[in-house]
Amino acid sequence: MTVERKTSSVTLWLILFAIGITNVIPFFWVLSGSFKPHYAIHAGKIWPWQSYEVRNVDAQGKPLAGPEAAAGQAPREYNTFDNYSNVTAQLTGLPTYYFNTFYLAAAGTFLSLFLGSLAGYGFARFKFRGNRLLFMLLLLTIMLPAEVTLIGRYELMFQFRLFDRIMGLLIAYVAGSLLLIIFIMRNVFASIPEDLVDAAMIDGAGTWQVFWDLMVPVGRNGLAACAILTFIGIWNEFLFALTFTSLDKVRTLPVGIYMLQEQFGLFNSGMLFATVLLSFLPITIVFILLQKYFVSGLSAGALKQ
Amino acid sequence: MSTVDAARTDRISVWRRRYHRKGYLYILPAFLLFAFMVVYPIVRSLYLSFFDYSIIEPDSMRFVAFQNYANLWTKTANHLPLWNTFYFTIIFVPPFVAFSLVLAVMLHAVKRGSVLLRTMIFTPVVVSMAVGAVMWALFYNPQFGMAQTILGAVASCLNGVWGWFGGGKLLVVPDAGMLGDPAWSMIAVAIMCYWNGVAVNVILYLVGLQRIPDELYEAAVVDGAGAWKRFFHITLPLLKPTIYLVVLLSLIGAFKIFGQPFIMTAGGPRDSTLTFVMRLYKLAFQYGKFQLGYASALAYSLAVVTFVATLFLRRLNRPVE
Repeated sequence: MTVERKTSSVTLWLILFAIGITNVIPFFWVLSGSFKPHYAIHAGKIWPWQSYEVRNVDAQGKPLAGPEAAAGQAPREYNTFDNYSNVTAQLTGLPTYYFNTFYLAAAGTFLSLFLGSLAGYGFARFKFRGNRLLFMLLLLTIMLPAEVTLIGRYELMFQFRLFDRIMGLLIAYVAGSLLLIIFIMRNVFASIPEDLVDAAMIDGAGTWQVFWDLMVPVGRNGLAACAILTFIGIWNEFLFALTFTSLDKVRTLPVGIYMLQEQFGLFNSGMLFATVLLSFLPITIVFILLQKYFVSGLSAGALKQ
Repeated sequence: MSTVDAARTDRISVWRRRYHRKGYLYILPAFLLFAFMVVYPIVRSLYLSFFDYSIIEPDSMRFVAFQNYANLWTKTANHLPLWNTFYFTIIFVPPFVAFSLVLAVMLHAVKRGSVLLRTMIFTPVVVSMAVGAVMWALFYNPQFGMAQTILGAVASCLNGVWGWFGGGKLLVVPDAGMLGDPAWSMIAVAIMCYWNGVAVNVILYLVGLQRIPDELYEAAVVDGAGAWKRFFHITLPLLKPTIYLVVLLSLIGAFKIFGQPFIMTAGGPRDSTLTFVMRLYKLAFQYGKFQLGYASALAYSLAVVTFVATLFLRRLNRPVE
């Protein structure tokens, strides 16, 4: 009985391991491709064990026919890290995209968490007139896909001179993330025992102190889940960032890499590989370190339905 | 009741009213932003959807009633995006929901060494959709992409076996790559979406699986129920709410599919991956006419379809009385 169980669990583990490998193979493929020159990639020699004929290349990693073709540039052999040095030297946009995306995700998460938990507290703890009605209004809009707001927001961006501004995207993202946070935090705050609040009030705490010193610390797990959910959402957002920006300096990483693909796809695949790797590596490492919290955040998102 | 008591209850009720009125202050900031960036755009889009309106010629705005909605059926240009989105939903949602369930049940059963497995299976979810799409466009590249190599290997295996039985070529590898061939392009997009999104489903299922009490399984083992029986008679029925949730989320996601095909193929080849939201986007921002009224009507059609699907699934999900 036990022996049978053990073999079956080993088989299970191996099956899952195989599925896991197929899931992560694209990452390793991009990683190893990012160290290869353009011509090796186009010859299909991407894995480290696939050897290719080393050719002399110019500064961009493109093969040279002879020294004269380089117009005075001395040809040299391709170096393993050429793609990366080219990316840092030529794609000056990449740090900007990174900064914009990180700024939007961080500021957006902070703002929407603050506003959202304030409203969640308001809905959960105060029986003012219209409480239910206003909450039903929120419920109604969460059923609508975000695409419905696209056209109206696009006009607003022009009317309020927010087009091509980080501020415009930030406002749109905060407004878009608020709903889910209000939902989750309303539930969290409503589940905090009444006695705790009463005790604090007898000690002379006002509503703000109750919110800041009691609700926020007690509801920190819910807040953390909301933070992760919002951060990932903003970090990945594509449609609004694509529509509301046209200048390079306000581009986010998803839109930036979409544009880079069009620019560099055919001309230098090695650089594209390196760029793709640089775009997913930091967040992937953070994920692997904080996996537990990510998972709880993602599962909290299910509450919205 | 004495007058003193009455005055006291009065004071308390005044205090209570004042206290509860403070709730407005707490919801106010969120509501202002919400009214500005969510409610107004929603209402404005609905309004615009009844007009022939372009942002570059605001003066020629014309009321057309339901014309924009009727275009959905009368204009043949809209039929292909509708069909493509439907086709994507059909090929994407059922395997997406089913495979992730199997994956979650297996992951749930593994006790030792599950951290490594979970990390490997969950990691693609953090790759942003756009980065993933660019990555998979490389992966599908007909010249050097790994997908082409894998497909080639599978094809030669299948064709070899089939040829041994005297059949012809069962699987032909497209020369233009999976993304370059109209017959394959949507399947290729669906595979990328599966890779990117499977972790979310697995996580939802795992949460649901953890809620099923172990005693049920133990009792079933005592009664002599095998693994299959336990799966079909305990796991599936108790997981029903989660399954409906996953189906709903996947359906809504499939209806709205835009970014992945937009980045990987821009709607090609021969419009085989031109989806409904992409048509909306192109009408509004890419064809140069900025037909915002028309695009709004498409957005609202999408909202109606999503809404109906949600209601329908909710109804199915209602507990049997």
